[in-house]
Amino acid sequence: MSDKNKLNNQSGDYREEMEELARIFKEELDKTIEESENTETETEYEVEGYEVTMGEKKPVEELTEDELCECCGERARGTEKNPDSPFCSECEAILEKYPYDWKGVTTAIVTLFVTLAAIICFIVNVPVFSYTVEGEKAFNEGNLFTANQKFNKALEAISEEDDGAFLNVYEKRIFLNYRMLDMDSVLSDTDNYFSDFAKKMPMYKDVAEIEEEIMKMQATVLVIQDVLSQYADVSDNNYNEIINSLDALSGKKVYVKGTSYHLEGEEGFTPTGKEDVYICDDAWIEMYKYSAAQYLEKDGKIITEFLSSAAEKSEYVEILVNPLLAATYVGIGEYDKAEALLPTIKEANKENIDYYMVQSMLYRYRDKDYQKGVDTCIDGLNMLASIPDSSDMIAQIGYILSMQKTLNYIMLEDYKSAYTSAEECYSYQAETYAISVQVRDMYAMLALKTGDTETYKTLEEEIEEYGDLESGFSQDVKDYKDGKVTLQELAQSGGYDLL
Amino acid sequence: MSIIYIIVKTLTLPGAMLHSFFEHMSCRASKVLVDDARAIQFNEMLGHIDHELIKRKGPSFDVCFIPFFFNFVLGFFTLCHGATTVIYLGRYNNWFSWVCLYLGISILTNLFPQIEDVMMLKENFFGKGKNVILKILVSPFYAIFFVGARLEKWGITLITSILFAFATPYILGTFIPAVFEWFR
Repeated sequence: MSDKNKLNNQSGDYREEMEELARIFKEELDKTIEESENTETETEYEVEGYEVTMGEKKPVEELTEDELCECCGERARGTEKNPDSPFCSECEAILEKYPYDWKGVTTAIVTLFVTLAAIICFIVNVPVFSYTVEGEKAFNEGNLFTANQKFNKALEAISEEDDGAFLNVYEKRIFLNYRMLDMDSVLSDTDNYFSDFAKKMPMYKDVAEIEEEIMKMQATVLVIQDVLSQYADVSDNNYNEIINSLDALSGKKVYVKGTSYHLEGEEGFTPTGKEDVYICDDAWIEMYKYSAAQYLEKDGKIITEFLSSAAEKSEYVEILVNPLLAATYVGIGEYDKAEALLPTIKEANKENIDYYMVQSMLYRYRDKDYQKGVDTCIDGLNMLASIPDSSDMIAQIGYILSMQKTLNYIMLEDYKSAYTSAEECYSYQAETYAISVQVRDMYAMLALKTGDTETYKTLEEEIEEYGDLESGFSQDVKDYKDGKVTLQELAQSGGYDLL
Repeated sequence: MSIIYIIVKTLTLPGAMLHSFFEHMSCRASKVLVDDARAIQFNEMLGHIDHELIKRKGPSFDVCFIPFFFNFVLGFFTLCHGATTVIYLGRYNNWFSWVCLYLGISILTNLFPQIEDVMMLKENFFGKGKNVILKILVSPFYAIFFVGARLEKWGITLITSILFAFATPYILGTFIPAVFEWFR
């Protein structure tokens, strides 16, 4: 049989089938119409718990599909209120109060409870959050002391059972302590709160890098100290030898395992591969070269060379070195270089006094503008006082500016103010039980100058009391008493610029 | 498009279900006829309910605004805890914080009405001869709903809500410390 014939036969079958269907449909329709005409005018429908009484119906055959209710398809569309409604009034009543899906209701209830619990938990965490935000803001603005206080307060606000849980707060404190050159605190935080797994996570990559850098510094310092321990003392005789030994460390590997460390090529040591390996940090090698030169009071140019070389090799060391470098530049008369470093010093920590110290030195040595020098020191001290809870800090570092202020007053020949300032400087140091020779001597000399012999005697007695009689007051005080030197000469000698 | 839409809606199912619940609530409050209110249905109606075409101003605004408002409020408060704790403070060992973070993102992903509802809103408020003051008052909402509905259609609201979660601690950081200081 051809395909065409097959198709004709098939279409014949379809026709018959369709005609049969039409006949059944008509029979059913007639039956339904007959039934509906014989039933009562009111019928009750139950839709998902709603009972509705259907109104009087028009005969269905009179309505077209467009006139039937979209919902039930049995009654006429339109309601009293809205004749254009696609629904009949009964269906509208049902649809207006369509029952809620229990899943939606459950979700809403659960969410409501979770939200309430979240609000309570958030309120509990507000102190930690607020202090951390304030700390971060202060850190970004370069106010490192304020940031430090805020982070510490945030960590104090964490309950004991949550200790160590807020990793990002510790991370922020690590960045801060790194900028504040507090290596011990950085290592303590990384060890205590960051597991090896956490350090491998991308978001704490910086923490791992900082730790690595500090470990490298520590390894270098240990090796350098080993090298220096070979020398009984640092003197002009062995100065070059020491510098060469230090230079020889550059690029060498240090193997660290636990508390033991070994330098590459050390006799009797073979690396097992389990040690942490660090390359000696050149910046710290330069720092120790600077220390040797400073100890032997070498020429300022040599000192500045070592310092600038150290600063170039490490950002971390640069923060440490810049104030020293600037003060040394002032000491050797390279004022422009010192001034050029001022913005960097200020940026490193706006709350540090280094900027005010170097600026005050520049006013005194270069510009001979002593009043501006005094004002700068007062600004610096006011800045320190404006930091919340800064009394300890003022005692710890405020004496540096008090001494600068004293020296400027001496140059102004305002000895009374200079004496008051020296007294302030002395009292700051007395609070920390670490009185330096320069502070005590300057206080004593100004006491003599202003006729306060009582104070001079008390200071003398203190020296005896603390068993420091052998050294007594320094040669400067003796020379001043003998009239060999004036206070102005001492102020400009550089020996009283505390760093 | 619908695959992305359904995937995003499924990933953020609690938020979608909550949105459909509030949409239903607003329909009932505004006496809008509802055809289908299933909370879970894996098609383009997930997160929405099927209701009649609304030809009245108030209900058409309510149906768009009420779910948006409630979802935003609940989502934001939930996210406050989740985002500050997990994202900002780095507290990873607390399951409830993670739940809040997920729930917050999920709810905020499902803020916006269907584009058809937004079009109804437009028709009811912005046609010829409509009240100018109402037009001005409603226009910002219309703009938000229109953009949001478009973004939601492409599942982009999941990305925007995740970004919002990261921004939340910084938004809160602008005023919470001051409020805390004031109470202290």
